[in-house]
Amino acid sequence: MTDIAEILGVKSAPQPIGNNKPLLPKPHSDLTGSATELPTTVPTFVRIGNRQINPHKPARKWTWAPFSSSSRPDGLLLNHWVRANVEYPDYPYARFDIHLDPVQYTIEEYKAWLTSEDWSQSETDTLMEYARIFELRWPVIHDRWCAVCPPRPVEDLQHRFYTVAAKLLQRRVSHEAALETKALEAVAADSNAEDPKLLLETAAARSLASSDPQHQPLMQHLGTGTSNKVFDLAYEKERRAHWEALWNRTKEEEAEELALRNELKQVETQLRKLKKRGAHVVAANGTAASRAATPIPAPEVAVQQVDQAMATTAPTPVPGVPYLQSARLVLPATGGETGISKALVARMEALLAEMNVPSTVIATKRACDLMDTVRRDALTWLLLEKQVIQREGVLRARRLKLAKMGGNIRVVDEETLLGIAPPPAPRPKPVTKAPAAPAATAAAAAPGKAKAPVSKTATGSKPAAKKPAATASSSSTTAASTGAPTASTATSSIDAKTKKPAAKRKRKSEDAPPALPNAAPSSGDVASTINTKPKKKAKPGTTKETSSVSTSVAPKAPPAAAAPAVTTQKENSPKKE
Amino acid sequence: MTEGNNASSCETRRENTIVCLPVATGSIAFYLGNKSDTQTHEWTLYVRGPSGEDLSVVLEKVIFQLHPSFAQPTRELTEPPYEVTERGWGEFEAQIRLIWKDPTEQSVLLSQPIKLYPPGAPLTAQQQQQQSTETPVVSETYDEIVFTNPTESFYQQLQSIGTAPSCQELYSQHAHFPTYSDNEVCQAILQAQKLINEHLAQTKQNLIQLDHDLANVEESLRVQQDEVRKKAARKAAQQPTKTPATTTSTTTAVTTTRTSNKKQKTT
Repeated sequence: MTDIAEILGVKSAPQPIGNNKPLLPKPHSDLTGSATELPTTVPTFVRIGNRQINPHKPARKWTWAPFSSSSRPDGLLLNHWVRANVEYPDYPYARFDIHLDPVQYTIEEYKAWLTSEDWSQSETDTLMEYARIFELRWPVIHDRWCAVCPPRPVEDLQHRFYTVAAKLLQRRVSHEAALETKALEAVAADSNAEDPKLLLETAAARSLASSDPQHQPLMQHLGTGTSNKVFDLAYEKERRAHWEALWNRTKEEEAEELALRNELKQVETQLRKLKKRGAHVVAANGTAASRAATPIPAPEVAVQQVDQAMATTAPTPVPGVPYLQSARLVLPATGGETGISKALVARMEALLAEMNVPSTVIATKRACDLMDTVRRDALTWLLLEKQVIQREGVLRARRLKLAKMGGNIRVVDEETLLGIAPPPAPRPKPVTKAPAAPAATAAAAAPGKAKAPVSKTATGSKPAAKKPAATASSSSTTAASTGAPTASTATSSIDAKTKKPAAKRKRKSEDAPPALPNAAPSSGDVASTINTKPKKKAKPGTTKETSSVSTSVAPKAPPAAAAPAVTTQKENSPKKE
Repeated sequence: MTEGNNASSCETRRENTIVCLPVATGSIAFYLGNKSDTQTHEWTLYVRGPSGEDLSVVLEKVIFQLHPSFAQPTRELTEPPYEVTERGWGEFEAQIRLIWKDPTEQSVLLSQPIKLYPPGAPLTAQQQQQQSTETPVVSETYDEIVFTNPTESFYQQLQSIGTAPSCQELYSQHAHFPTYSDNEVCQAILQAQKLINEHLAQTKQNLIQLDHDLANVEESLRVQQDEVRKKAARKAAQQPTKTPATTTSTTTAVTTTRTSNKKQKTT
């Protein structure tokens, strides 16, 4: 109230009322600070994609103009943006408006050729009309049809339409051909010339005119999309039925079908594999196993296999096709089909090379025949050797099993059985019992020996159990009768000492009654030594025989033979007496 | 028997007949010295009977197909000597087609490489210089053509080859032709065959023996299995009586059973 100006008596201008706030708030701007003082800028260039727009050139002119399409029957005018100074003759998309030619007939034609029992003329007319309007789009036609007329399946509609079209085409063509023949014949009569071209044309026309529908050539009326060979209704029905069934399969049915297909695939692959590997050979072996009476012996099978293999690369003699003798020298094919592996063929070649047979010989008949034979024999031998090894393996396994099963005693150690046990420590005392047995096991340990003797000693060392001792020794045919009872007594006396694990190894060697069917005399000796075991009489005699047997079997035997036999003697003495 | 091509096509063929016709194809090449780069060697490619037989009795013609770089690479010859001599520098494979007098027999295609340099590692400069113009490089292949069931007339022709006079002299390079004998090879093969047959017999024996042994062991196994079963049954029966036994008593029990078994076995 008390203004200083009033007090001082100074009169100032009238002040405005209110504050200086603007009526509208300032619009939001990203520009801050000093940037608000700068003027906004316009870009100096415009780029659309890769093209730079030159701002100095004037822009194209477009106008909003009316247009009509030639494909429109009603002449409707619509507007659209058009380039200003360009002439547009027609709506550019009018050229895509294409229609099929309609199939039309006159009433006379209908009455003459197209009447049908199932179809009335009005129905046929409707069908034709729909076909024309909907451009042979059958789902649409069928749908429209069912809305209007008594319903028919779509294949019936198709059949009617195509039959009508075909008959029309064929009849019209015949009619025209007849007219043409008349005209041509008139011309020919006039000119009386033997023009071959004219004659041909006349003949062609005549044939068209007079032939049956089925003999006429296929004529396609491309404009209407029909031809003169009718639509196959039966096939179409079947096709649709199949399709429906496929569509309507349940999940279970589908799964079942998939499973069946997989099974079929598996069976086929198996069949193919069998065929490849020579099924008849496999089958022969299989049937041999089942028919215990007459098994096919291994050599015959091997020979068959070799024959098959050699036949794959040998030239087949065909009358009128000469072949080269050198073709017979080609090595047999290897691979799954023949059952002859590359390794086998390589071994055969190596074998022959060892025997100074050259790998390629001069191609005379004699030489080729001989090469053929020698190769076959070599292959057969190698195959049979393989079989021998296999069977020995099986035999060993069986014996092991037999030993394991022999009673409640853990008598046999696999190591000794397989002949890889370390030799037991030598003992000073003389030997009485089972001298050839340790000899046998030691011999089994000797790797230098060929397979045959090893297998025989394995036979010898194996039957450790008391009861099978009888049968085991029977397996060594020569030693059988005499050896059996005494052998069993020997083993049974040993069995009492089961509980001493320390003596286990030596026991094992004793348990094996020696059996060497190959070396008949030695086994005879062995049998006699077994006989003397419980009597303990002919000690020096047995020692002698031991040594003789062991030398016949393996050089390593003697010390081993002495030691365990000695132990046996020691163990047996308290027992026996 | 009528002769001529038309007749032989309807002729009957002999049964179970095989005829082997020996044929030797080869190349002989001479070094010409350093005269030219493109013609360093003169070579002759030929087909002959290995013992000088005249093959024209059975051969209609021989077609030599040379490398396309030669003029007229297809050379046809209808009578001996069946040879082609050319000068060149490169080794290639020539095809020789033999057409038989009998039209029912298919023609035979042989492939013969032309060897200009002796076999082995590529020549060093020294070796090249040492190439002599006198000693040729001969590369020949012996083969026999096997006819199966030939027609009667063709058969007669084939048989008559042995009796015709030798035409080896006709060939330009006949001096350098090698000779063939299969005696040594056959001897070696026969020896080898003897050995192998011995091995084979031995192996067959082994197999038989093994089968026998296997059968025996199987039998034993079966018996043993029965025994084990019986034992188990017996043990099960004896079990309640044995429960209070001490170790010694068990031992004696065991020994008694064993001795009893022993007695059974001995009797």
